[in-house]
Amino acid sequence: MNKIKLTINNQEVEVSKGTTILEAARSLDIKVPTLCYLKGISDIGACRMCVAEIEGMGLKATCNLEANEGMKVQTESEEVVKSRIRTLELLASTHTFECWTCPREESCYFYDYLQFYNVENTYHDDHKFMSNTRIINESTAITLDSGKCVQCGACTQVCAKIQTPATLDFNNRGIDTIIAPTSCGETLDDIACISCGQCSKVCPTAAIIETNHIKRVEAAIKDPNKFVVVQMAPAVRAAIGEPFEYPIGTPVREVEGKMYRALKELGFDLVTDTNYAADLTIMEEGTEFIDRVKNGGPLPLFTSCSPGWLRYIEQYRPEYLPNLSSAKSPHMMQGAFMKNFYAPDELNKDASEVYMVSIMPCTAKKYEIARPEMEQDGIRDVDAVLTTRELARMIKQHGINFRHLEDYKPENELAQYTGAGTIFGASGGVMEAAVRTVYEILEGEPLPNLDIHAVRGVEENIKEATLKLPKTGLEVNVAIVHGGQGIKKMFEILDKGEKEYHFIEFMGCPGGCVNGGGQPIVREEFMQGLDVAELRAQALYQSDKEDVEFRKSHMSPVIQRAYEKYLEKPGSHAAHKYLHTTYTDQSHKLK
Amino acid sequence: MDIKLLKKIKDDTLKRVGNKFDKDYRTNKEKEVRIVLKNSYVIDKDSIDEYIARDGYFALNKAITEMKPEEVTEVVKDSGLKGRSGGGFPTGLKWGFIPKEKGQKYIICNADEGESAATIDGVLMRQDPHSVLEGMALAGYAIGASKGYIYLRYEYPVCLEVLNKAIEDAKEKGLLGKKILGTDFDFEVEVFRGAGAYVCGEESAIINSIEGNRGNSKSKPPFPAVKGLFSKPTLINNVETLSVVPQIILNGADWYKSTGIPGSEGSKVFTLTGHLNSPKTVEVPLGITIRELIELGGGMRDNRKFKAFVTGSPNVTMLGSEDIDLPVAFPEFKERQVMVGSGGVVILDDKTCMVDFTHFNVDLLNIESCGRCTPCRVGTKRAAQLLEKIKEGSASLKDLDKLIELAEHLRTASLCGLGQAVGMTMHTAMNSFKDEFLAHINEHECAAGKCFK
Ligand SMILES: Cc1cc2nc3c(=O)[nH]c(=O)nc-3n(C[C@H](O)[C@H](O)[C@H](O)COP(=O)(O)O)c2cc1C
Ligand code: SF4
Ligand code: SF4
Ligand code: SF4
Ligand code: SF4
Ligand code: FES
Repeated sequence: MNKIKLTINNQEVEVSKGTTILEAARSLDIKVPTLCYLKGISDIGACRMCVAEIEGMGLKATCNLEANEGMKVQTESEEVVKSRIRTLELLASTHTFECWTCPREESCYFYDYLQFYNVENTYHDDHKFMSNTRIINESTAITLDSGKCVQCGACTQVCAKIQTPATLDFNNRGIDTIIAPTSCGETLDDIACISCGQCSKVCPTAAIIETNHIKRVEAAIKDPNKFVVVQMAPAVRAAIGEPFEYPIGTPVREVEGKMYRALKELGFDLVTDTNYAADLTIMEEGTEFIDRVKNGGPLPLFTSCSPGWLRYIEQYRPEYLPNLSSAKSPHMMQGAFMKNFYAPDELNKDASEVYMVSIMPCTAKKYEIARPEMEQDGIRDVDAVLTTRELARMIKQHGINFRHLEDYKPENELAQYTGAGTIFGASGGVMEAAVRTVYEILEGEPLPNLDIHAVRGVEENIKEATLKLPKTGLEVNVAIVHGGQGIKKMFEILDKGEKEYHFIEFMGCPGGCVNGGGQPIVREEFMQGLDVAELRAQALYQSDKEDVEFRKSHMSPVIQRAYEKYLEKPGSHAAHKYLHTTYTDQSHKLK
Repeated sequence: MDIKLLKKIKDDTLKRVGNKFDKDYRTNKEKEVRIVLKNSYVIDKDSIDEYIARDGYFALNKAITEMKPEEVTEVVKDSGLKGRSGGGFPTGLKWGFIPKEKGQKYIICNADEGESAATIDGVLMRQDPHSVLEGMALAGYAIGASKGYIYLRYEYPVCLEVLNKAIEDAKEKGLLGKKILGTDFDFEVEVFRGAGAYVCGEESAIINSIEGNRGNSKSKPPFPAVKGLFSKPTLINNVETLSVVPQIILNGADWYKSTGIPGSEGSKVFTLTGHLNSPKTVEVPLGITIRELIELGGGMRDNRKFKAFVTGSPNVTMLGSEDIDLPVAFPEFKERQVMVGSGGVVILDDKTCMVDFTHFNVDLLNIESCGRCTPCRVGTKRAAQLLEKIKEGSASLKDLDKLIELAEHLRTASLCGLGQAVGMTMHTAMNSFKDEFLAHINEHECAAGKCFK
């Protein structure tokens, strides 16, 4: 056994060899402040907040220093605290403080530390120290604000190591150092970023946030000529409670009704649910799959509902574009269907009057609605995307007491859904939903067990399963891939061509949409031994099992009605015109 | 190639060149020595034969045919040789840190020579390239590395040519490459050109740079000795350090120790610059006093008063006139937070304003800061701005306290040597020239007449 004993703040602790002092301290429940550290992802030692005094070594950063036998560590000595305060003073001297309007006012670790250490704003009494120019760099999905950046570099590590584009990095030197898009692009739209927003989730401040759509949504709600329709993605209900102090993984039924009610109170004219279109997506994508199996490919079919993933394949692996399903993602289908069929026909509203807002766990959806293909006759399918975080912020800004809201259940057809639609939010959910439908269509009889555990979970970034269709005589090899690293790995496997796959679910974010870049922020130090994505996914699976009347998309009466009344059948001409899209090679952005 | 042939080349060349090697450029033969600069300005830099004629590659032959790798490290350890890049880290000890296990390991010769006042490594590479190559090969043999990089300062294009030719010549003679001198020892050398940043002389930044990343420093540990270039064990030494190794191996540790003083064995090359009558490059035994160095530089210009002894630009540290009889030696300097430096020495006279001088360097260092860690990225800028306030006459004693605090913070909390050394720059300035700082703040008085304009 490779064990090491050391003392931290006079407490003895035994850890295994290779453990950092920071992790050893955490195992004793000793709090050490960090800005740049992310367990297993970032230990670049940039911020210098985690310093401690080590006997014989002086002050040392603890996040990347391995514990040694017999070390004596003090994490709260006078010297240590002084050093942290000086570091914070220096960071404060470069910061643009506007906490009262800041999207991170309640989840800013920098602010918390300033408060905790009672840091004086030492350098702000003299114009001499005002040396940094604030640069706000806005792309469709992500906004970088150098005025709020503490240059911890956490974003660069997540982008490079977890998502792989490595599109953010330190630029320039000295006081002019700035976190900015790498290579020659001006914004993250111009280069090979995938808009996933994973960087925004590890940023300790508001230096990386989703590009604000609250303003345009508020304006639309106030506009008497607009009929504002809202929809929310499956994964939103798995996390919307968190900003209101509900524990991570709170059952959907405890918060979903409050969320619907909050939207009504915010003044949306009609509440619908993206889960409806998730069912629609299964019909379209499932049919496309059956069609490709019967008519010779191209296989494997790749799912197309994650816009981060879309950017990935268009930019990095355009040679695989023929494999990509042409189905739009659920909220785009919802927007197109609402504006072009439902509103004119059943609500007596013209497409141009309808303003469609999607609440999404995702920052890339903001990029997606701006894709040139996403419109019909000049009318955009979706007009605004709010992240789960933005919705929570709006609710708070409006003084709505979320916890005390009465449940509301929207009656509109486009708010009704099956369990298959709900589980879209978890990695493996799209595949599981598709299998439930494809199996029954091909086999002509019910799938014996609806819970397909092989495709669930987040431990592996590539999951595989084989589905046997006894009557049809097919063996379908499916795979589920999530996160940039997994995607990269899957393409390496596909390049080798040794394994035959038929259907692959791809999600841009690790853990799928429940862990999307627009979800509520969970501080790294609280994530100890708790997998956020897993807990949120459990809430969705529970809802699928306990809360819904139907668990298979094709069984949904409202979906059946949509085809009868408007779309004829999956893959029809009308479906193709409104619910499907095209892709283009974007590899020039890699340059 | 074998020892017989090596000897034959030596004899033939000696016959051919006649008394060419008797030249001696020293002006003060008593105080100056010729160890590191043994061949410089004497041999033809492009002639491997002339290097061999000066016993070149005999040390390599001795090591790989007669000594075990550990024995080579042992001799270097015994010699007392310390890193000539300025930190003074014991060289043999560093070699001993490299894991003994077989496998890919690297040697990096640090030829970034970032110090603005120093031109020692440049002279060595241009005048005596084979001593550097032989030193690298010896280090490679000692630690079990088969590949070496010379990380060359971008601004040294002549060195690039000279080194590349030397590498080719050595390969042709079987003194580098595969099966050196007919043994099983392989060693390749490649020159890698840096891109000009000062921090890229820092060892972890060099590694990043060769790997193709941005030239940032990385946290240590892990030290390069364990996880260095391409995550393999890597030994990094300075040009001057490596180039003297062949002579140590050939002549023995005791021979080397006979120069210098205990704790600071051997000789060091200094570029003497500043307010001197005759600035020049000299090689002297360590332990020589500052006074003697000033004399070697021809004394103070215009008979002015000596004010400051400065090493290591732009990461300068300084001593004042009361330290004029201090020996230039590692332990004595370390005690005062002063670096011996890589050899650039600036002697300043009483016309210099030390507040201004400190400001100039600290400001420059903010530009050179890689921007990775908070204390250095922001702290050096704030320090420069506080110094600017002192120069303008708008500073209070509170600002001086803040500077002292910042110096301490930079030294103790910065990620790499650059930021830590800025702390030393500020500390040594405010320590040796405290009265001058106080006069600026309290009386708005600048004895040199530089400030308050
Ligand atoms: C900011 C900074 C710049 C440095 N620049 C150089 C340099 O230009 N040349 C050099 O040999 N060492 C330089 N060093 C020291 C190296 O990091 C390293 O310690 C050295 O190459 C080891 O060689 P030695 O043990 O032979 O002295 C620098 C260190 C720092 C912190
Ligand atoms: S990032 Fe933090 S400190 Fe900065 S303005 Fe926002 S809340 Fe305030
Ligand atoms: S949005 Fe994703 S890909 Fe783009 S910079 Fe952030 S982490 Fe990288
Ligand atoms: S943008 Fe955020 S995560 Fe990135 S360096 Fe700045 S503060 Fe850190
Ligand atoms: S001390 Fe300066 S040069 Fe070194 S890592 Fe920090 S910012 Fe970079
Ligand atoms: S340096 Fe350790 S957390 Fe930033």
